Amino acid sequence: MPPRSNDAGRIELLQGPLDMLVLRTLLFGPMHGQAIANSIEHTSDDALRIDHGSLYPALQRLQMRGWIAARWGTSENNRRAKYYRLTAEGKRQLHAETSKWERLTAAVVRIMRPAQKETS
Amino acid sequence: MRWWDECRFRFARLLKRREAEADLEDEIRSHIEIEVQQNIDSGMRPEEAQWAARLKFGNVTLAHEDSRAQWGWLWVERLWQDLRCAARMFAKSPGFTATAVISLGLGMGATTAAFSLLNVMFFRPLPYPGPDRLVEVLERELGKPEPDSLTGVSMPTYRDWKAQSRSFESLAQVWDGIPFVLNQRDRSVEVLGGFVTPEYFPMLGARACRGRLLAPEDYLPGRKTAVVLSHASWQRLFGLNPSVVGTSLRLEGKPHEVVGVMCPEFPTFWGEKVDLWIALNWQVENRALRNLSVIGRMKPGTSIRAVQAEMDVIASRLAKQYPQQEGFGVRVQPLRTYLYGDYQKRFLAFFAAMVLVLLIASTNVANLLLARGAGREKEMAVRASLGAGRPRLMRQLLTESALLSCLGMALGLLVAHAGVRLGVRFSPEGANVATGGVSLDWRVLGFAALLAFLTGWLFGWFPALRVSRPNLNESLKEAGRRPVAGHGFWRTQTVLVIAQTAFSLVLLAGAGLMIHNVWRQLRVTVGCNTERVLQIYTQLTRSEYMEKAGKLNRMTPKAGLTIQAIEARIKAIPGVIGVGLGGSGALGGCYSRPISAGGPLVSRDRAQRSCYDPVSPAYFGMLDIPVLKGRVFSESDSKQSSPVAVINESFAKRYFPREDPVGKTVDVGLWDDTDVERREIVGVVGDVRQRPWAAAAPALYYPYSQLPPEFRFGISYEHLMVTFVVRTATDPARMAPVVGRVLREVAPDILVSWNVTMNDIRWWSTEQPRFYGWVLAIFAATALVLVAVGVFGVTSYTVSQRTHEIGIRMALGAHPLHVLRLILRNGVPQILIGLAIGLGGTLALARFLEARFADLRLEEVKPTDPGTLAVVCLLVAVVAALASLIPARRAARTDPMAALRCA
Repeated sequence: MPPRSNDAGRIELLQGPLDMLVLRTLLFGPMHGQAIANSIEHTSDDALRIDHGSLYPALQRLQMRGWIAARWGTSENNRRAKYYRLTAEGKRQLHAETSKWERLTAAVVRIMRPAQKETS
Repeated sequence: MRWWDECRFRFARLLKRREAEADLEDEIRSHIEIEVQQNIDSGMRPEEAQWAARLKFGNVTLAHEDSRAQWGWLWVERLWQDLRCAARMFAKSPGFTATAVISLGLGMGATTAAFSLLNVMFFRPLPYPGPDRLVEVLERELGKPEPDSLTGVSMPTYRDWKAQSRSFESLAQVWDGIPFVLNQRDRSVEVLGGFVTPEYFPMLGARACRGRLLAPEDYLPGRKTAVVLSHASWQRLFGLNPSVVGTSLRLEGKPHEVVGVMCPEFPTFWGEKVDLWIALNWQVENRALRNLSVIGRMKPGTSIRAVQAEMDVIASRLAKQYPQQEGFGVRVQPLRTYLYGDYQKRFLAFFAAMVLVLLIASTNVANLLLARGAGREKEMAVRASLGAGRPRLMRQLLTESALLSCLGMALGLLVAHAGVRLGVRFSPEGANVATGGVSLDWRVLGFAALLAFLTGWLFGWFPALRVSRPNLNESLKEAGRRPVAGHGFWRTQTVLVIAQTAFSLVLLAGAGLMIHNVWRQLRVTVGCNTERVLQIYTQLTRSEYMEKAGKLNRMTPKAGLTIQAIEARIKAIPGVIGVGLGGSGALGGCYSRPISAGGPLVSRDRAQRSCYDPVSPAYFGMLDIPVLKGRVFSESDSKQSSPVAVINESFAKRYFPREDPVGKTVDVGLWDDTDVERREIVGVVGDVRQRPWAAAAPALYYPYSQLPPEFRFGISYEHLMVTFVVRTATDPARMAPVVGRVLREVAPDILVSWNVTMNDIRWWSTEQPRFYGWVLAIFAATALVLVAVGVFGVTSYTVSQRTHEIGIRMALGAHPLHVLRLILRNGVPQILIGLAIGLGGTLALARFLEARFADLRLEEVKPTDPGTLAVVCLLVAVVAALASLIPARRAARTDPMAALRCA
């Protein structure tokens, strides 16, 4: 389900939901990679299961676009970890995409619902 | 903004790539460690914790790679990786690499060399300022198809054009390529020169390095005719004497003044052979004498079409005004056609031949790559199982092909450079074509790069396609066992071998036909006995030999006596068998006049022209020219008796196709354009071919004693030109100085402009076809070698692939001969089919070429000559058979035990 990125896209929009999820997760404060991955799994009630490894290309992409920034720091258990935080630009992007995403899902639901009515 | 940030990000990653990668590695490692720690904290055992963490993370390598892919420089890394891999691989198999690179180098080099010549002819701007505005203007006979209808321009017409046309910045008249005799103090030398009007030099941007160029005042009457030397002739004839400007030159006895020396960089029209330019300072009123060229520079902003339209109007105006212009129009064409028109078709054919060589080389390399590919199936399988998709594998294989192609091109450029230099030097017309020099300029280099790219695709694409589709299961199964490649593989190789054979057959057929042609030409019967004949072209320069008769000059009786004396003296030399006088000499060109038979000469323009040559009575007998009808001249034919003539067979066929010419009369239009001479035909002799490949020109011979008043155009009208034909018993070249001495004893002022043996003339006349024959032969030989190498390579690989199978067969009792047959059975049908297709192609091409290239002198040998084709087929078959025989024999001699063990 999460998109596997093959090459750096030059598209303006968020590449799939994964990038958006990462941005959303970082809204609450800087986190390192492992924490982001676990957070996405937990907050979706384990409905979204991704290979944690596929997070890293997304992190690179978001860094490249300037929506997140990285810094080496120390984790809870005193290990070195790279922390990512949301930039102002990233916050703006997240709000823009969130509304787009909500509109999209609403449209899809509207299409699906009449079919559901028939089957019920 | 975002774009800029992205670029910065990517660039930073590229420059500090190792650091970035280490950073990423650190990050991923720390991620996993944190995960592991969390797992341990939640109660898992350490090993379980590790395992769970890794499972959750997924493929580390893939994550790493995908992240790096985001940086966007992945393709550069991969390319570099592939190139290094390919280079290593090629270094490890030098035999294959050498074969492939040399094949490609030859093919690409040949094509690039041919293109560089085409570049000069078609693409590169002429080496003059404003080259696209330079044109040639010709007169054109209306109603005749071009290019036969195009003629030179007469002087009065040129003057009218200059006065009436508004489209030209300048218009110059040129009469070029004329041999003169330069009389220096101690010797006479032949030089090549041209007459030009004053607009010529500024139009072409010429500069004088010493003195000055021709100026309008040189054309005023009463002045010594001005001459400009070329740098090369200044060096050759005057030893770079600094005070040559202002000195007087004697050209054909007439004094001229040197006013300047041209700079060496000036690219001359007819190669480096131009020695001097002379002011065209006389006037002729005869509009029918259309023998000069006109070149012009159009005003900026006009097009050829517009200029053509204007000139058409002027031409029709002139046609109404002057009866001699009636039926004549104008043609304006780019100067390029004037320079290269003759060669364009020929060199296109050449280029096509080179492309064929390249195709053969490419199929060769494709085959080799295919064969190698069969052995790399395991490697491809391993790569595929590691995650490489088909595109990735193909990219790698294409990179290898590209590398081969580039190496081949590097060699090819060297070959092209050397080839062009040698070709221009040794070609008989090399200097003509190389106006401004043949160089590898940006167009040629661009073509070379494009060619390398296309060739790489051509031979690399199909093997890449084939090899990148490994059967993973099969290939990885038995370690060490070489699988026998499937049917598809053989089919491709077969097709390539067939293609190769077909191409080389076409090329060889072309070369073979030309070589056969040349061979025949060298042996053609000339019509006279050319053995041990010396031809001496002389001029009697003293004024007592010529007298004025009206507007013309005529030989004096004293001249006649002198000539007779010379003849007698030469005959008396021991070793001389016979002497005769021949006007233009047999095998040379001839002076032609308009001649009409069976009626008065009505229109000079319309009458057919034939050779009109004075000879002495002994001429025919001495050269063993057969007398077919009537008689030849004798002493009784003199100035006082009635004018007689002897014609050759071609003349009889043209003018008297159905009747006996003996006794008929013909009218000859003389040089002064008004007089007509009537002669009676007394005999018919056999044809003497002036050029070995063309039919003999119709010729009318008349006695020297009946020399008509002659008008020699240009500067040598004061001299009497006499050609002595001497048959010697021994080597004529050695008799030449003796004869020369005798000549000077009788007539001290005689000028010997040239002496040459007839055999030499015959040899030189075949210079051109011989040169082309050699060049084609070299490339045909190359093609043959390439085919041999290709067939050898393919068969060798087949054998090496099937070593295991052969081992089994032999262990089971197969006789070596059976093995031989087995290997050959694959190869022979391919060769035969290739030959068949090649033959078909040749025949089809021959029909096409026959129509288009009629002037390439294949009259002697038809393009479908069965003898030549048979020989060529046999040659290719034998070579291919031998090439496949060698590895087949090796196969037949394999030791079964070794084969079974090692395979």
